[in-house]
Amino acid sequence: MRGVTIVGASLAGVSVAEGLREHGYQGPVRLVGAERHLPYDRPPLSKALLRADEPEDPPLLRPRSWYDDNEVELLLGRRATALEADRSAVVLDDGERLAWDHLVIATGSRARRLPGLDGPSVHHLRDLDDARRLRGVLAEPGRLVVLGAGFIGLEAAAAAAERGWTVTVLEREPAPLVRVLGPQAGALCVRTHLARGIDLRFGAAVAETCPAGVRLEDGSVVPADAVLVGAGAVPNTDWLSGGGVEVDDGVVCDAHGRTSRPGVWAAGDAARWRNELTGRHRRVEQWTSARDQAALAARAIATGDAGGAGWAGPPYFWSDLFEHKVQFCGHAEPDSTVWTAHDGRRSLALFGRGEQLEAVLTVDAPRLLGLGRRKLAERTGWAEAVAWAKEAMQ
Amino acid sequence: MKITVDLGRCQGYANCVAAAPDVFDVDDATGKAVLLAAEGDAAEIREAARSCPVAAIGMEE
Repeated sequence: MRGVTIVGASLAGVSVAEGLREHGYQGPVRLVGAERHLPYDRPPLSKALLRADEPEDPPLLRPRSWYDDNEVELLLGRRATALEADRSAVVLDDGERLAWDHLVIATGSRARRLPGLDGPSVHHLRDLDDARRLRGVLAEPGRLVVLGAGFIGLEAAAAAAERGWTVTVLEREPAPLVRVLGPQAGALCVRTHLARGIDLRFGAAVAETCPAGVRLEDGSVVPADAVLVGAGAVPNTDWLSGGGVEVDDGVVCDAHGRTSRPGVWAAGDAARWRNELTGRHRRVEQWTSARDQAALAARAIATGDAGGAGWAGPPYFWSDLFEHKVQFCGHAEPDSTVWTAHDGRRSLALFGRGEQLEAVLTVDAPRLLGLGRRKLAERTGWAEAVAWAKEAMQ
Repeated sequence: MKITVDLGRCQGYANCVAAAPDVFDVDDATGKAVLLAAEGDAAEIREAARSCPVAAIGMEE
C-alpha cells in the first residue's frame, strides 16, 4: 500500500491528514511542505503578527506530537517539482520520487508579483518569513506605501499606522475591496483608516519603484521607506504542468475535490471546486473553505465513497482592521444589489441577485454574521433577508 | 457532555454559530461567544469546535 501523499503542509493539507485518520484510514499518510516551519495558521500573519505586543510566531495548526500520534509523516523543506500521474508519483526537488494510491494537491497560492516593483524595500506578505521581515521593518517608524486596497493591504496598513508609520494606500480601482465586495460596501471597512489619517488614493496607477519611493504612471512620486505589494495571489500549480491533471486558474475539481484524474484530489487555494450552494465554480482563497474542502476530500478517500452532498458551504472570511472585526460570507458581484446600514457602532450589508440573498457583510457584528450565514445556507429570499436586517439593525 | 469556551481566546468568528446554532451565539457587544445550552447535537458541537479558527471550544463527551 502506497497510501496518501499530500503536497502542501498548510491548513488544507493538515486538515486532509486529520480527516483521513478520523475516518479510519489505516494506510501511510505523508505531508510534503515547501517551508521548513511546522504547519502554522496563516490569517494572523497580516494581523496579530505585525503588532509589536504579539508573539513573533503564529499558532501552529497542530503540535509536533500530533503528527507522531497520528502517524503522519512530515516532509518539510521539500518542494514538489513534478507530477507523474501516469506513474502515480510526484517528484520532489531533491529528485526523490514518492508513489501514492491517492494524491492530494494542497500547494496553496503565492503573492502576485508586479513588474517594475522590486528591490530591497519591496515586501510581499504571504508566508511566515515574509511576515517576520515586515514586522522587523515596522519596528522603526517611517513611511509605508501599500499597493492594493484589498484585505491584506488594508490589514497591514492598519498595523503599520498603529506602530506610528505614515501610510499611503494606492489602489488602481475606484474603491477599496472592489474585487470581493463590489464598489459600494468596501467603504464600510475603511472608516477607521480614514479617521486615523491613512491616505487612501483610488484610481492610482503605479508604474515602478524608484529611489525615493513609488512612481505613478502620471510621473508623480509617493515617498516611501518601505513598499508592500498587496496585489492578490496566484495558485501554486506551475509544478503540475504536463502532469496529467486539468489546471485552469487552479486545479479543476468537482464538488467533492476530484480532479480530472482518478486518485488525484485537490483542496484549498490551489484548487477550483464547484460549490453546490452557489452554483459557482471558482477558486476561493479562504480559511473556512480550505478546511471544509479538505474534510470532504479526506472522507471520500478514507471511505472510498465520494457520493452524497458535496461542497455547499457559503464562502466565509474575516479581517481585523484596527479594533474592528470585518466578516463576510457568500459571493458578491460588482453588479449585486446592495443594502447597507450603519448604527453608529455596527455595520451590516446584504448582497442580492434577483430574488436571492447571496452574501452578508458585517463590521463589529459577529452575531449578525452568524445569523446571516444561516440565512445563506437556507437560501433565504432577498425581501425576507432585508426585512430581517432592518429589524436587526434597529 | 461538557462544553467549554475559552473567552480569552474567542475572537467572535461565529463559525460556531453556523455549525451549532442551538448551542452557540455571539454577543455583538462583547464580540465573544455565548453558550445557549449545556448540551446539544454532538456532531454539530464537534464541528463547531473544529471550525473555530482559534480553537477556543472544548468538548468532553
